[in-house]
Amino acid sequence: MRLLTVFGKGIYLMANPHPDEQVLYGKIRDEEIKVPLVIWDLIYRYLGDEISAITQITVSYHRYNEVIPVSDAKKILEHIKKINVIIRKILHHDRIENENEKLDELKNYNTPLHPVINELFFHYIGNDVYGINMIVSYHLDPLDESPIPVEEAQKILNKTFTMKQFMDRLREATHQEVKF
Amino acid sequence: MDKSKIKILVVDDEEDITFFTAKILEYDGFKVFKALDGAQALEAFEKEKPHICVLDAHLGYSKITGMEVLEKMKAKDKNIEVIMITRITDHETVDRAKALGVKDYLLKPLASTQWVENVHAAANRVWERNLSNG
Repeated sequence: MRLLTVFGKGIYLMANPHPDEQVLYGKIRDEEIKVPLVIWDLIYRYLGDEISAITQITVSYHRYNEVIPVSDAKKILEHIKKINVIIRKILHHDRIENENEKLDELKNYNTPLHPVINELFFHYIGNDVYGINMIVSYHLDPLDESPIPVEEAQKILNKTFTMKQFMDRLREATHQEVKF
Repeated sequence: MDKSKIKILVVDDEEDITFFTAKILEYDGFKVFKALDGAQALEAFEKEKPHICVLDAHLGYSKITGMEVLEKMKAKDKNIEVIMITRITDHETVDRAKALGVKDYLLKPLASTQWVENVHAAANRVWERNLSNG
């Protein structure tokens, strides 16, 4: 982990960068690799909302040095489940599920993500979502449910911050301006 | 600054974003109203006359988009401070928002407390302009 920045009342840490990060982003720029619009929509519309929701729930306690109660930790878990549906659709485009009516319109798409973007996407989004899932699930163990402590909430914020950084950087590297 | 006199409208179609954004601002001492779509937003705007609006530019499946909400609010109150939180990045939309007086245009996903700093800065402007003389 390395120190990234300080803002608000917390010090935010970012996960280790991908070992070939510079090379991969260079490829995206040099080869003008783009994200298919339907996947762009999944990433910036649905994923963006779910990550924002997790952030707002967490900040609403962390900012005031309060633990996240079990009831709201469960809400975070619900957003993680939705993110996992979106990730499965993006990384395994042939596996179509219909668990979320909002995604129904996208169930027939079959456009694969470019392998370079796929690699970065899995590293930053896949791993960070998995990390948040582990933190929250640990505290929601049915045999011993407990609120999420402030220091664990900090880790959740570190991971949502890393995901945002990735999404901002991908937006920059692909030079895609998208209007809906 | 007496933050309890500053009214903020939070508009986002994702319920948890709206609820917890409002919770943070209430905790900071502001008077907060919530809306989940464009129609609710305009109704709350007319009724509560907020000084600041934290507005999602897109609003999902709402019949009235966030940009339309912005235009209608600005037509009636050019001084309302609007913090746009959006995933839309095309120049046309950004330029349109700026032309309507939007100073803060933040990209989703939210992953920091930058937006809270923007709200506090907007609240200071509102206080100096409208409320500091009681």
